[in-house]
Amino acid sequence: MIEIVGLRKRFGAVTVLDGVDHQQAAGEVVALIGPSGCGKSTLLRCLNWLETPDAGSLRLGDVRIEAGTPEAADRRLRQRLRRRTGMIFQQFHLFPHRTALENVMEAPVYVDRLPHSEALALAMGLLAKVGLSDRAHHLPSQLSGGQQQRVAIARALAMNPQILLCDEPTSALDPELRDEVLTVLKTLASEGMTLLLVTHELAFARDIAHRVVFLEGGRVVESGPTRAVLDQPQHPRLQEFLGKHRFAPR
Amino acid sequence: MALAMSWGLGLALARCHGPKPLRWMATLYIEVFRGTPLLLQLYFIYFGLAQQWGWKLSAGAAAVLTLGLNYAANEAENFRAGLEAIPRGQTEAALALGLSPVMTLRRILLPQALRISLPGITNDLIALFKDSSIVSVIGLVELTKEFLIRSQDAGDYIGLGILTAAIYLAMGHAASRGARAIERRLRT
Repeated sequence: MIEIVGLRKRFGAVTVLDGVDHQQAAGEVVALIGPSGCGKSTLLRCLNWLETPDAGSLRLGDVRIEAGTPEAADRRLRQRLRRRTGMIFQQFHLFPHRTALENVMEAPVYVDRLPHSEALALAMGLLAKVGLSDRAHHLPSQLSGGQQQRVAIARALAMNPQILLCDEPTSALDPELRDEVLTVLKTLASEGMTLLLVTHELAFARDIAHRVVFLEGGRVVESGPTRAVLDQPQHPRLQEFLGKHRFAPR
Repeated sequence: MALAMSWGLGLALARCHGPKPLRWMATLYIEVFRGTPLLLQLYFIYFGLAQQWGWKLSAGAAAVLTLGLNYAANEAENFRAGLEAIPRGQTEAALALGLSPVMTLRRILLPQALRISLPGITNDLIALFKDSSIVSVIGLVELTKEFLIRSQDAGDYIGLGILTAAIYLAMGHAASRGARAIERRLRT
């Protein structure tokens, strides 16, 4: 489903990704953890080409891009990649001038060119799925953070992505609002959606993820089944990281 | 004003999103038109281009062209302020959804930018309206000139002056009201 080989990215003199390999099967939920600045978000953003990697290759379903090649600069290829991915941002990034419903309908209407009535039905169905049917005609500014993030999830799902990339989806939320977003993500996971999520919430990672990948200094330091990685960390850096989180075991 | 708005938008897009040479040209244009007197530009276009070089421009056309080209430079900066005020996340969210860069601009960035730019644009619309009085120097008779002629005839500067001011005010006020209505429609 996803296959990343030797992905590298530098910002000026700073190497953010230093040869990352990652594979993920369809329906698999993977949590990316690691200290701030370890490259987690950059890795996620390379997967839909919001950041252009310097080297390495990326395969997502039937779309394959080799960084640095002429094809990689092709906008249509990039667009195909983005059609297969949905992204959830820490700060939601809903379009503030459009209602919840219009936010969800935007891509089906203007990318997929669905007829208005079909897009409307699709969007209403997705808003119902995230429990926000009664907020369809509200502007983002009239919604709580948790509601905004749920609209953002519906908006991403509207393009029927093969994988959902979540960049710290709950970091900007109060604890009470966090749960409603986590519940939605958990439902998606149980329905077989492929999720790659950057998170600081180790309890949530434990709850939802099949596998955990620990990234540090732009490299995968340790990865494996969730319980093994979180309960019996092998690498000293991971042990230290988990210790800092004062993670209550089991 | 229509000329100023559309040309200004083009300039702002060139300056914010265009390739390097285009960006550079737009910046140069804006600096030149913003940095030289409107009166000089009007003389240049009407007496220089139209009369000396024989371009087919009536006084009215020269006046509209000059005001349009000049205000376009100002509007470009208004639009740029609006475009640059939008958080980067908006672009990223739109691109991540699969919208093309052009669609992102049209559907997501411009509506939000317009909302931010509108108060400045309204300001300029009213200023343009008042600046239109300088076209009398190339022989056009507009409101202020009309006032001068009539008050000289009647020997009454104060009464007619107040009346003329009231006409400017009424039209300017109508423009502000219209802009406010558009702002409300663009919401958030």
